Amino acid sequence: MKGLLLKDYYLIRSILYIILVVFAVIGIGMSFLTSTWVLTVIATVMLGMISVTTINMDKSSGWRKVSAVLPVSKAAFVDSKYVLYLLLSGIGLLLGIILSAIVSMFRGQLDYNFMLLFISISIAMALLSGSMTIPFAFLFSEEKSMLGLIIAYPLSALVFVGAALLIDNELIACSLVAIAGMVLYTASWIISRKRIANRDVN
Amino acid sequence: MQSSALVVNGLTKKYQDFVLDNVSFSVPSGTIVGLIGENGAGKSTTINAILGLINKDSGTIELLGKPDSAFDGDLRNQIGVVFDGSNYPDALSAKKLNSVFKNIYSAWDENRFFSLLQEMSLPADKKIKDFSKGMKMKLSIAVAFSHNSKLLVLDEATSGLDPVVRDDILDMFLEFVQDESNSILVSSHITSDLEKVADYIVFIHKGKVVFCKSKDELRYKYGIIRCGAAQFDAIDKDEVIAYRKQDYEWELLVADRDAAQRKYPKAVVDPATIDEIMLLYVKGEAK
Repeated sequence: MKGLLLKDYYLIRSILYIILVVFAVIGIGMSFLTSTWVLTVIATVMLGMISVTTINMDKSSGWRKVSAVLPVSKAAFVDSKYVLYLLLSGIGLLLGIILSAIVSMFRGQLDYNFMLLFISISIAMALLSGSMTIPFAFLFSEEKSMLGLIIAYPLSALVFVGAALLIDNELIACSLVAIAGMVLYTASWIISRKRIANRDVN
Repeated sequence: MQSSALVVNGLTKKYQDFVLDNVSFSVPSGTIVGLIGENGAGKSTTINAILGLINKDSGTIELLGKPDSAFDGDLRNQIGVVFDGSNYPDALSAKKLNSVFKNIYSAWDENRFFSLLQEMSLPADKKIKDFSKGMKMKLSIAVAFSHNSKLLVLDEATSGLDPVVRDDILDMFLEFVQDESNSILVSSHITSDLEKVADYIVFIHKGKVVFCKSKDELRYKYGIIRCGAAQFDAIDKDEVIAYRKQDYEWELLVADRDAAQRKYPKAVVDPATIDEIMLLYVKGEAK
């Protein structure tokens, strides 16, 4: 799996500057419009999404076919994308926290409750959407897998709204959604290993 | 007895509009077997099933003496695969690809890979997106040759390449099978390439194996009788594999051209190329 992740690392490095520009534009804009801590959500989701992008890149380059004949198990290919998603989301979360904390300190608005709230929102958003977008990218063509991206984020937001309506405490509600995200992500991983790994590769 | 690097027996895969039907053949060790057939005949489906890319409906496949159910780890290390076109991410260079494969193939030979790059005049640092089609194909072949492969499986590896590059690649195949424990299965619709390198020819048509014969038998025994209508009527069709009418003559494919020449001394009996044999099987009529 190390080799597969290394290949993805090279791929990501080649598109990193685009991601950084998009992150800077959206991040700065959103942090002015809402809260500085929204940067953690944007960074977590954006970096995690790159893992999904690499699945589509593998399909269009033909690497998907090559990877199926390499001396790695079929499940390892699926695993590598789920692991990469977690790694990138984790890096995004960390990056978001650092950036948001620095900006908040400069503004004199460092609120730990707010920080925890946005961290749980970031984790929940990343895991909920990842549990849908990764299998979508594996199963469908590049165009159709975009549908997964379009559905995943509003659906994740809907879960938040539902939790917020049911539970008064925002932090508890978000934490529960984050736990639900972890459960869903794990379930998605297990199902993908069993179903996607054994599908025909054309 | 010569052992086989690959044995395919009764391979069947059903699609809605196509059936790969009971395909059987083998690749003896130390030989090159060419898989021929028109586009859509089932060559790639056969190769995909052999490599485990698609799940077969029935049949057995044995790779390097092991059943395909054991097709992972050690076995995959010994099988080099080249697909049509480039299948490596464009953003990578050959050097980066080396780092990737070093972490995937247990028997990856870095020195061999870089010496092959040099031999093939492939730049190590240039991104794959800047490679020509021929360079990409050479790179795929360099990868296949760099992990101690015992069996090479190549799907249309020479299509779309200029004759010079194709010739270089074919020479590499011949060099590879100098070691008698190495073998190659290569699918191609460029039959002239196979005439140069293949030891055996497997002809697939509409998902079925039409024949599996040694190239020498096809080249030295098969023949085409060319004759006019009167002579065509006089020829015993039981001895003819297939025939078709051309603009000014009849062409009849026979399995023993010397016997045909003896029986019909006035007829012109030419040696048959693999192309002609394939065309007569596909387009001709059989009794």
